[in-house]
Amino acid sequence: MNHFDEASCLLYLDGQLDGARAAELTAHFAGCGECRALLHALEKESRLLGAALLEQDEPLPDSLRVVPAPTAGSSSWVHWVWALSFGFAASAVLIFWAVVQPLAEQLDQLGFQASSLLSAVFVSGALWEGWEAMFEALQYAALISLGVLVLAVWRPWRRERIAVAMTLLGIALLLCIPTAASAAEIRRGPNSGVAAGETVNNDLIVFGSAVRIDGTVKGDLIAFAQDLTVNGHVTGDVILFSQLARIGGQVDGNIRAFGASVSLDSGPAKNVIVFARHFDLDPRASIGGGLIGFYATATLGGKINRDALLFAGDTMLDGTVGGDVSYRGNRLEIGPMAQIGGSTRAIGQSRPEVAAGAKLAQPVDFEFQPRRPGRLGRVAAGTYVFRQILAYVGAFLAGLLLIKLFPGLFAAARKATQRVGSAMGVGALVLVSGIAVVLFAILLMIVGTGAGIATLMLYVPILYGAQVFVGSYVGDRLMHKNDTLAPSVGALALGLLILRLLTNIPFLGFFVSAAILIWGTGAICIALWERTRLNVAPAIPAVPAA
Amino acid sequence: MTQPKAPERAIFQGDAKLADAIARVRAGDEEAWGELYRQFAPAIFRFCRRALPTPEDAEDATTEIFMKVREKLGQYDSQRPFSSWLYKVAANHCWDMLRRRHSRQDLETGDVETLPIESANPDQLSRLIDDQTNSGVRSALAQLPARARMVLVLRYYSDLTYEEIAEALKIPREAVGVALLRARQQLRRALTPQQTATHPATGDRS
Repeated sequence: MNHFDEASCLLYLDGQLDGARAAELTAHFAGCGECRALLHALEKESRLLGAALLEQDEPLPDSLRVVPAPTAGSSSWVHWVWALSFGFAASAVLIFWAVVQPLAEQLDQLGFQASSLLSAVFVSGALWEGWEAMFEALQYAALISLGVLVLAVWRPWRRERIAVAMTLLGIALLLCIPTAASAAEIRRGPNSGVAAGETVNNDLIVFGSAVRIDGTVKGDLIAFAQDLTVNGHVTGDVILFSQLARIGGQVDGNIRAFGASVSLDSGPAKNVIVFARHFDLDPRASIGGGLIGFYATATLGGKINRDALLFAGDTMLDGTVGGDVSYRGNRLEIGPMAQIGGSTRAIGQSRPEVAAGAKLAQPVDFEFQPRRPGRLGRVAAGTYVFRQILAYVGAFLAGLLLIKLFPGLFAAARKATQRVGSAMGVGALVLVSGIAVVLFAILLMIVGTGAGIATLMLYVPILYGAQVFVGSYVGDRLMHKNDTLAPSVGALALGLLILRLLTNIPFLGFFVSAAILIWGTGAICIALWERTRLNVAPAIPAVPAA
Repeated sequence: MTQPKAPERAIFQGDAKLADAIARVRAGDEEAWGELYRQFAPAIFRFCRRALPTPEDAEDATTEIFMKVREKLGQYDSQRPFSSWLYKVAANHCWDMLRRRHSRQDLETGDVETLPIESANPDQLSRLIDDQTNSGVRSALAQLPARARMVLVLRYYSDLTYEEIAEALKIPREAVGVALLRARQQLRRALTPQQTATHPATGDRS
């Protein structure tokens, strides 16, 4: 009698043999002790396997207490997100053209050319409300890219396209930068610059603590310095980032100056944009075009051939303005030497003081605007509410994207959010080093390297994510008072709403938003760190900061 | 039948309450979804722990599996046991995950595939089994190649039929028995003390 092999015994045991074959084996087992022993051993092995595998050895980890996929069924979910992102992208475009376009026209009349989208956003946005608007413009850009991401990387297997989208976006932004200084000469060193008599036949980028330009630059000058002096001749534009900046030489292009204290002893042939704590336009100076100034205090003694747009604290205007003066700020004083060829319009808290000798073509048109607390004072209520809604929708969209694309990361970050202390600590650390990274990124961006933009683009989502995780946490705490977190879109929506309301409390709001930022960023970094440490997941971008 | 039943199948098969919960989830009821999740998440998590290399993988996979379940619940045929369907979704997901991550080599059983199938010595096998603890079997399982692990888990944890295993692993129905047998032989080698050293751990931390 032939014995049966293990395979047949196993199939027999699992009831996988047809009737005739099974009967054959049954008959054989009745008479064959050896095969019966094998059958019993196999059966025992099956039992052992079942017992070992079915033993409830591990409880559900805390992170999985969170119920996933909290939204409605797949199809409605997809439609919803598509609709949301389209709506969002549309509203962002609307804002661009409703707000930026008129401003660009206004600028055009002033002699500033909005040569590209980016400069329109940055320069016009800045014109509108200064730094805050610039930051908002960045937010819009980030939100639009977020919307694009939702569309482009919707399906999980398209995750790798995030990288592509990011790169394309970076390239697009790079193309928008008007003065791409790709072929420029670069000089570094504590006392670098251009000596008297020397000529640089190229664009020049200078880094240094004390920079002097005494010679000639036949091109644009971009300078990063602590103390910058330009006494030479620059045939192109001057873009400077310097704590202390003095320009006494001849500039044939525009001047764009960012600094604590900026003084012009001679004006450029074209326009001037100044962001400074103190701005000084020397009586000898003459600006060929117009002036846009954002500063706390200024003395304007020189000549401005075209219009002056001033967003300022206190201004002493004692020079000549060929065109109109638009002033928005705290206090405008028009001195005895002042001459204004066009109209003078001021919006602010106090009526401009006009000295007896001042020659104004038209009387001062003054509009009183009381100082209201916080941001409300600067923006009309409708726009304000709209922007709050926009920021809210943006954060919510970011949350949905995170839930959908990185559910594991989302759960981990939410878990980390609960560890308030360590999250806060890590968050503070990352943000401090992160600010340095962003500053560096901005430098890179101006120099024209895509890496700068890429870093910045990574940083913005993290700041958004901070809101999302803290919001989701707060929402959960409110909806399920004490224990297990069942995150839902509802909780996320509620939490974000509460955060938005809290951050808009005058004075206190600032601290609330700082806390959210630190807390949430810390949670994200902990989650990213834990996950990259344990399991290298290529789709998750690394933390840009150290 | 001698094998212990997967508890979920035993409890929920033909369960009117479960059918009701599924119907409510399909209608968009969040609470029902929460119920369903809480009911099955521990079992699916343990499934993933046994099928995947690390606890973190298992956590991620559990979440992702339930997201898939949520998406595909419309496709579930309510005439069939819910747990089998659930485990099939889970198996597909884990299998895809392993395939994406590892080289093919890691998934194939390699030279084991070409080894002749020998019948075990019943007495030896019996003694080997008597020496084992449940946790010992689990850690030996963790050392097996992904394919062997998956097929054992599907059979003895998820209690799937041969047909269901064939579907989940996308192999012919006839290959399931052989796959099971080979996996059991690999496990026996891993359980035999002097031979465990030749099968390096696949990365499980437990």
